Amino acid sequence: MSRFLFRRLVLLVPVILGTVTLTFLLMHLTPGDPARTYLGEHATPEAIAALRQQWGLDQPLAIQYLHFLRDLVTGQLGESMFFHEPIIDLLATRLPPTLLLMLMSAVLSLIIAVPLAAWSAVSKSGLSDMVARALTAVFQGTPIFFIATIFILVFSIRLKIFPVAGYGNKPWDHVVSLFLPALTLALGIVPVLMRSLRTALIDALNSEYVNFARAKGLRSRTVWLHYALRNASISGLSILSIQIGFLAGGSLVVENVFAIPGMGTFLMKGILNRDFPVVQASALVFALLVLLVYLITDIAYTLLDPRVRLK
Amino acid sequence: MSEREMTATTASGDIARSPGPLKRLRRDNPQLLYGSLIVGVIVLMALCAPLLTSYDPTAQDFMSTLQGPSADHLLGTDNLGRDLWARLLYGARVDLFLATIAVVLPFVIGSTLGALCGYFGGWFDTIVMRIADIVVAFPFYVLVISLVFILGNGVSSIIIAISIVSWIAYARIIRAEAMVLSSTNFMDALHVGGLGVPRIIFRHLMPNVLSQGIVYAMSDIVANIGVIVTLSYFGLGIVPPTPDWGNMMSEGQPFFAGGIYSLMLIPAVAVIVTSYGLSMIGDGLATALRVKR
Amino acid sequence: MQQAIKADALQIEGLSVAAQIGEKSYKALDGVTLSVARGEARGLVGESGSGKSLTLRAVMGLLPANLTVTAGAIRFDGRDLLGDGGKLLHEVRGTGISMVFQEPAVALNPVMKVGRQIVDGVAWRRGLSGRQAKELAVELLAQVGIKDPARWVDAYPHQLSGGMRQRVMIASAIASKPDVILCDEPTTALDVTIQAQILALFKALKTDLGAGLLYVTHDLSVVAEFCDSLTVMYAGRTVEQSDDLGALIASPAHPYTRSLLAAVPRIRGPIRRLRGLSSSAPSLTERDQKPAPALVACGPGRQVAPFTAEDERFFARDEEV
Repeated sequence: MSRFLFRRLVLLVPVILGTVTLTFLLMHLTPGDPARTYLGEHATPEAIAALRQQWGLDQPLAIQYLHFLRDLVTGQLGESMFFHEPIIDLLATRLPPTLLLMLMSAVLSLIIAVPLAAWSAVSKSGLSDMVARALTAVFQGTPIFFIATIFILVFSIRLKIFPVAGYGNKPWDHVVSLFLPALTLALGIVPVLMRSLRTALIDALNSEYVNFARAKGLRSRTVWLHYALRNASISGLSILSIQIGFLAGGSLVVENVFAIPGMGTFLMKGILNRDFPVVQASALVFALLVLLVYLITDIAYTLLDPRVRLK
Repeated sequence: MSEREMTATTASGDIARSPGPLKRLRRDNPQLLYGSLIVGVIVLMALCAPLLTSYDPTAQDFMSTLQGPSADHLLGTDNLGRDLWARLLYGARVDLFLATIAVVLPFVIGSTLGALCGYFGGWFDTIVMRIADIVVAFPFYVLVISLVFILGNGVSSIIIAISIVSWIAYARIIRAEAMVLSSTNFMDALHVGGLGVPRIIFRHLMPNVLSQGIVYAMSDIVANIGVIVTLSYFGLGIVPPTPDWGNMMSEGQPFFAGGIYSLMLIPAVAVIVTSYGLSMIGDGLATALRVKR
Repeated sequence: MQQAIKADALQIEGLSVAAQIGEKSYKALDGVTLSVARGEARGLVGESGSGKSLTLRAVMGLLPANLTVTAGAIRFDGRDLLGDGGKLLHEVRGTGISMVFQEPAVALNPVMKVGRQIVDGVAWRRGLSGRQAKELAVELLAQVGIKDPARWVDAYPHQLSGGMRQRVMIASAIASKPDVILCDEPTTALDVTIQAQILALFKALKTDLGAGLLYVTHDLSVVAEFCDSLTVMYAGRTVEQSDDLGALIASPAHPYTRSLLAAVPRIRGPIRRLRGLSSSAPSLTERDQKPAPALVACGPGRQVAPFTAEDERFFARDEEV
């Protein structure tokens, strides 16, 4: 296991280095001068020159890159132009809400998709197919922020079940505050998840090992849990891990609609304040977050499927 | 022959009197037919916008704000007295045009790169695919929004930002197909036949693998519409007063909670219906071109 | 000698199964009749598609969704398994009757340890603790000839060889000490040398357990090696059977049985091709849709399906090439 983990980590290194390089280059893709963009049209040449020096933009690109790498390794992500605080400290408060949001939406999507998939895998009527189609039609083409707006209107403003916005102060408040945002995100991946789980379940239910389980006279609960669902969960996990990018990107959107103080609002604030270091750091953290989840799913994969361990 | 008998023969697929192409499409691939109808009507309405409304979508009229539907204003007016029907039509022009261009560009770049990777393999393939791995590590919305910020607001920034991210899917699809194809005898036969490599790629490889890319492109347009309206919703996309479904929804949102739903709902329905139509075309094309998804 | 005390544990009588293909219904099984007593090993032979495996699956209640039993009875110890909406069948599955599947590579759950798969049914019914269950699994693994069973009990199916997997399958089938074991071509997917080992295991188990075996195969040499009795199927019907294997082989009554026996490779004599084993048997959709005629007795413990002179010519034609 540890050897497996080590190899995965080694394989990750070039990708991580690549994302770091890309975020570094982001800043330098700016047409014109980021310092001028930040300070605005009317800035004096002296002010621009000073800022350029502060950001190290007057140095050759290679030197800037090396400095960027050095700062990253030592955990310095620079200072926010707007908040005048080290970005690393700001991130520490911003990361937990986003992580909780992504976790909750992944769990919610499974809670919704697994029973639906099981139902549509065994149902002979066309109803389950219609539900699947309707879900796909409604949630795949609807902008996330619109679903979020409707949820706020119905559940927060009219029914007053959930808070309109924010994150709360106590752990339970966090969960309650994040329920609607997480549901919004979850619904975005439920159609995909449900369809692939349904296929996997049908395959499993028609498989010879399920026949074998039935031939042993096992209860249908055991046949379902330990034979059919257990096998279908393997492909379910891989679909879920593919959707992590969507959950992360979608959290950028819902956090801003629900005003959750997470990574998404941090990035958006950085953009609105023209706070280059903040944008750079948050984009990088988002990418690292996704890579981390891939790593976790890789590990979960080996736990779910004994066949991968030997490879 | 009675009418009932006639329909019976048609339904049984009489070869001598085969049904017309439209009827056949309705029977064999209703999704493609209805999807194309939905999207066709919307595109036509966007193209003919000046004929369908006499209002300027940006003209404000403070004498008639927040009006309901009337003979004057088909869908009513917004808080600045602008005609919603006109804004919807002109918004469709902007969004559909952008979403389509932002598919064509990555489609061309991605499939060309993918075909080259699949065919040549080696270091070229390695470099392109590693770059792809790195780019997709960033969540789609995060990278597009950051790129639009860095490139500056505007139409070209949106197209470039989306293209930087979405060429990868095409490259991967086409590469995988190209690898399968180039290992089959088909390519060997062409090679032996004395055709040059570029000719093989563009005349034989591409048509063979493009159907997958085309099916994917449909879902990609849906995704693009989503990201474009989201960008505009956050004030990073189409800059007001130019109408776009996203900034219409953004401007309508404050009224949504207050009970005036139409301002946000109308553009939202437009987005949903368009996306639904495009998805249907995608599913229909997948059936027609026998693409597994 | 056995006939005198024969008390059938499993009786299949006039079993018909219909296959729904599109709008139409076809006869996949038509009036299949056979029985198995405790301690008896009955061979069930026929070419692929003749309905042998389907018969086993019908007994186990494992028919695919588009296949349904339309007529007949399946009795276990005289009680009809189809009568009460599947309740009795569910009770008997894995206790009174168990099954060895053809391809252990796909029939074993890939994500469950083999020890657990062997005993999960029994452990649940007897309420065994985890440790007791594991001990039983080790015991059973030893019984089916796996060396060092304690080591393999926690292995996953993919870590085992094909022969070991089939031994695991057999261990699970005998775990509940069943009265009847249905064997669905258990050696077909195996290497020839392993086949011999598994056959030897079946022989030993037959004597040790006293269970009845219904052994599906298309290989007559396997039948000759350890079966007591034989049922021959063709195109979804029973064409001939005998409680005494020797009598049937000595004087086959049905022309199909004759051509089947003639197809067994011999060292000398003309090379013969078998109509039955070639693909010339009617496919499901081309089969005779008339009801199958009842079997008629043609000797002590022997039955044969009525046949016409045309059948005789049809099956005889391919005997010599």
